[in-house]
Amino acid sequence: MVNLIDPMFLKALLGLLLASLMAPIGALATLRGVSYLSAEVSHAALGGASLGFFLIYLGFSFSNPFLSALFFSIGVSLFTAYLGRRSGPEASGSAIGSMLALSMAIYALVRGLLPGEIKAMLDTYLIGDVLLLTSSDLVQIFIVVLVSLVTLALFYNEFVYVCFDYDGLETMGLNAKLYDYLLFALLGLSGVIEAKSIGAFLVFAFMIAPAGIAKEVTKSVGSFLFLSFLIAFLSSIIGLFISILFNLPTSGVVAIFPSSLYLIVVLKKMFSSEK
Amino acid sequence: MTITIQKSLEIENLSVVLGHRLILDKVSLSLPHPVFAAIMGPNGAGKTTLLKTILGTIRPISGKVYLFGKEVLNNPSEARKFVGYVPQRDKIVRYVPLKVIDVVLMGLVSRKEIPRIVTSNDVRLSLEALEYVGMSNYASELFSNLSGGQQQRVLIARALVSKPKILLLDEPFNAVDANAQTFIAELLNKLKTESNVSILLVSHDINTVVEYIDILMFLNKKIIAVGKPHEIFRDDILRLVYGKGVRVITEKGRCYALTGDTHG
Repeated sequence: MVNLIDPMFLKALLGLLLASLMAPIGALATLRGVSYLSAEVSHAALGGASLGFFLIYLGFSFSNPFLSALFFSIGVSLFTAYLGRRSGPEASGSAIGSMLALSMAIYALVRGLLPGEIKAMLDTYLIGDVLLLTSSDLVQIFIVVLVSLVTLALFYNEFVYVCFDYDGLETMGLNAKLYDYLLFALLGLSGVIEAKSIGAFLVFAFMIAPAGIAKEVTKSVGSFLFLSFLIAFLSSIIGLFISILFNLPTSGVVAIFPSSLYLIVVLKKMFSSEK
Repeated sequence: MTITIQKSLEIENLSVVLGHRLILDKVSLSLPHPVFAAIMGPNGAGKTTLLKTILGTIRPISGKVYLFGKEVLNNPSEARKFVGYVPQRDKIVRYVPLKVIDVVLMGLVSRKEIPRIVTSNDVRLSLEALEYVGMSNYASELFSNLSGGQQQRVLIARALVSKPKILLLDEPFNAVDANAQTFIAELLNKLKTESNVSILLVSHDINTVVEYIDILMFLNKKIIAVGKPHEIFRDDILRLVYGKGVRVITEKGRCYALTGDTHG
């Protein structure tokens, strides 16, 4: 039986709601043609968090793994944007792969050096566990989500225009480069939130699969972004209930829904177009 | 009495280097207003670079550009007020689910100050621009669902919505069927003759608009020839621009260049 007023359940619910609110930013990455960046930045967050935990292990008590994850993730995202602008989409694809490998390498190296209890805390960035989110985690996540959504609301048109026609935008007097970097910075933020809540491993389910489904059925950018959020959120709620009822890992169950739904939508479309 | 002829565009000794490669070499040009001008040249001749330098998005290593007397490179935002730009259609990301009206609104909204709120007047002006290009019935359609020619007309409407004095078009006839090419060519001519808008287009193929062109330029890093199409559409000039593989044929008094050059 699910206890709806259990603080742990409520915190998990809030954590999933906040994580779902970042899904539209993953959807924008799809429009920008860098879907895989969502996955990369959450792995970068894992690398950054590893460094943060390592500093704690070394005795630097001021170290905050969430903040180091944040800076590392944004840094990697902006670096990818820079390479993409400088050398084209192929270079940004290589950058995504290389940075992903670097982040995972940092995680693997650091994890091997950490004692058991810190190792377990670090691992929540990899596989996630919303049921373990603390109040201070939620406050940090809330602040980042709030900043991201306000930025998205303020520069919604600019982000959409950058995705649609970068060259044309520059000639109309908008600083396309600035808004492009801002969009990549938001993607960096989203990576941290997803890694902290559902884990870097399962970020595809929150950042790419909902956008993939929404893209097949929506006819405007607004509805595309909203449906991405809705799919991520409903999947979370259903997944959370099922995981508690059957005592299963929450992140895994949550991630199954959008991924499966994506497969169903794509297969349905394939078969209907063959008829 | 002195008559001053207004210049739409003046370029003085413009040289552009991109990635250690000289793309434009001391290009100079002067266009009256209104004018229907075209720049022709092979792939890699620097046509798009020239347009982007005129728009101030590429900085030259030397030279100056003036739009209606305003220096572009030091004050691009002031000079861009006169300009509408239609980019190559293959640079547009067509899977972004934008409605036609939203694409045209982009031409107004992006020129506003933050927070760039869309007003009912913006919508009215956008619908008028769509009406002008014969696309008002498609305002609520997805841009991605339109044909190549229809998308091109919408992009022209987006460029026109800010009431420019000069329209710059980059390869407007690429991947557009013959009927749509004719429609666009007539539309551009109407803009010049009825609305006093200067037209400057770059293309690898100007056969569709050759009858409307006042000034044609052949570019291959530098200006090879400038003049009326019938004056400079000559075998010797075309060979200088395209090499030996080009042929000129004349049909019913009109010249056609068979360059074998494709683009996009």
